[in-house]
Amino acid sequence: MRGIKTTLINNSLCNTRNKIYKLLIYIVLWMIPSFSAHGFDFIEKTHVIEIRQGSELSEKVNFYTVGGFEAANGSFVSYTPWYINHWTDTRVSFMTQITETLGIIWGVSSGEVGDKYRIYPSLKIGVAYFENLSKNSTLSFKATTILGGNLTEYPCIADYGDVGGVQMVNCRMAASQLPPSETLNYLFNDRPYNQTMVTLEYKLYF
Amino acid sequence: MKAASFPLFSKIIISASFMAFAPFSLAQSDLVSTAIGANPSAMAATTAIVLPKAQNWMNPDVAAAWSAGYSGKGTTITIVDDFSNASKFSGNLNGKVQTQGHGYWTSQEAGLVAYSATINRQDFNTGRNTSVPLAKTGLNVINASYGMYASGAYINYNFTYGAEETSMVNYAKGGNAIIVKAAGNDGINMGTVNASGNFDALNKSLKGLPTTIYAGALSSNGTTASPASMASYSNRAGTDVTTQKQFLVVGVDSSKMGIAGTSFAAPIISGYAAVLGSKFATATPTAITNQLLNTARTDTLKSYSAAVYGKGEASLSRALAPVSIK
Repeated sequence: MRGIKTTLINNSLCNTRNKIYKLLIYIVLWMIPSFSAHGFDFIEKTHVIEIRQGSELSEKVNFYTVGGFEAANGSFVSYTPWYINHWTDTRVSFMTQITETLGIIWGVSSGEVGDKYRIYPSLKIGVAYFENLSKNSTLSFKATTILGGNLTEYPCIADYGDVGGVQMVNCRMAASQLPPSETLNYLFNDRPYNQTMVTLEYKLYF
Repeated sequence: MKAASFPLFSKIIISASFMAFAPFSLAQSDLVSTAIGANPSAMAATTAIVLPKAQNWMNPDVAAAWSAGYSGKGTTITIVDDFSNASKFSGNLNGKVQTQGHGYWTSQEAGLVAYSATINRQDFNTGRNTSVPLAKTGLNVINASYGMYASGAYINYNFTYGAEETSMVNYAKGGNAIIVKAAGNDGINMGTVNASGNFDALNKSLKGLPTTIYAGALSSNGTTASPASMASYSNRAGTDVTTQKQFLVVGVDSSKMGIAGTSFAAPIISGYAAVLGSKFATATPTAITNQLLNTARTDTLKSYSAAVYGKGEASLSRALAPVSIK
């Protein structure tokens, strides 16, 4: 049953990922005529606001690239092959100014893949608003959300011999005191940190 | 901290055998166990001891294997011991010096290792004629930190016991419960007579049965960097291969615990069995017994020899781990 649940989760996330890709394609297609017509204008009004390699989820998994446990025969089982990544999650975010006070925030992340986990690619969208309220006060508002970008961890198959047989288990907890089936409740299944952020800032200068 | 002592394990054995053998008849070939001020009904108290703190005398294995809440959950350890003798002695198992009787020490110790196990107590002074009850669900482990001594003249006899020890032997024979038996403090090979000319008949009766584990004592926990040696008082596995295959050792560090004796090796192994029983809830007592025996370490022991250490030092972390994983 656990295997079926994992497969269903994987399929659901695949569907979400595919939707994100489609959305990205639509945005690019929409931007092409805009670009053609207002290419320079768009570029002039678009600013890079974030380039980041690594994320909180990436760091969470990175913790397990060292360490391991002793198998029943004393041989060392390392976590490294399971949790080392082939490409670190990288995010680029932009802000495109629409009016004097309004901008659109948008960005993408590449996702990250390891043998026993995946951080899915994501799309970041949001708005930013800035207003000079008076000579010495300003108000800014920013709201962003991240679509996709979830961390999913996959289980291992462990052979416990005569005492426990072959069982699906959380790789990191295979040698713990917990029953193997209980360890599956501790598989990573996290949303991006700060998935939705809203900030309102008022500044008064004196 | 008080000096280490070996009081109750030896005293119980010696007084039991003398009392038992005053009226002994060869024709009967019975081992009559002592019941001083006998009360036929057994005293069995169910106590769930929950003390989730790794202690400094525990093997680093146990501390490393410590995780939230599961140590022995759903299992039962029955401590068959002396709970009514007025004799008490001091020790330190949980960071503070306590003074209590032998049975309370062994039950506390087992409860510290398997803190979510149910700990039952049966007083062997009053429970001789009562079978040890088993919990209906989950793994049952019976801890026997005592011996039944008989004259060496009868070493080749087959003994019968009261209902208490008979039930334990039958459980070991049928694989119904794990029997963890303290090896003894005579500093001799298992199956031989001690300096007084006596031998532990219960050790002999449990030999070769599917769920018997004999517990010997090391003077400290062993590591590969600092291998441990057998405690001077601890009985050794001996030359009998069957006994060697059922013999485990664990550290009983009297400098930390303030107490010593194979009486205090057995509860550690009983606790290990309970922890395994909670992880592998559908495993049979025989499978768990074999898992503990087959994952014992020899690389943490000084000049390992099966005749001394049996299978080796019990390793909870290896017993919990898979054989292979991908």
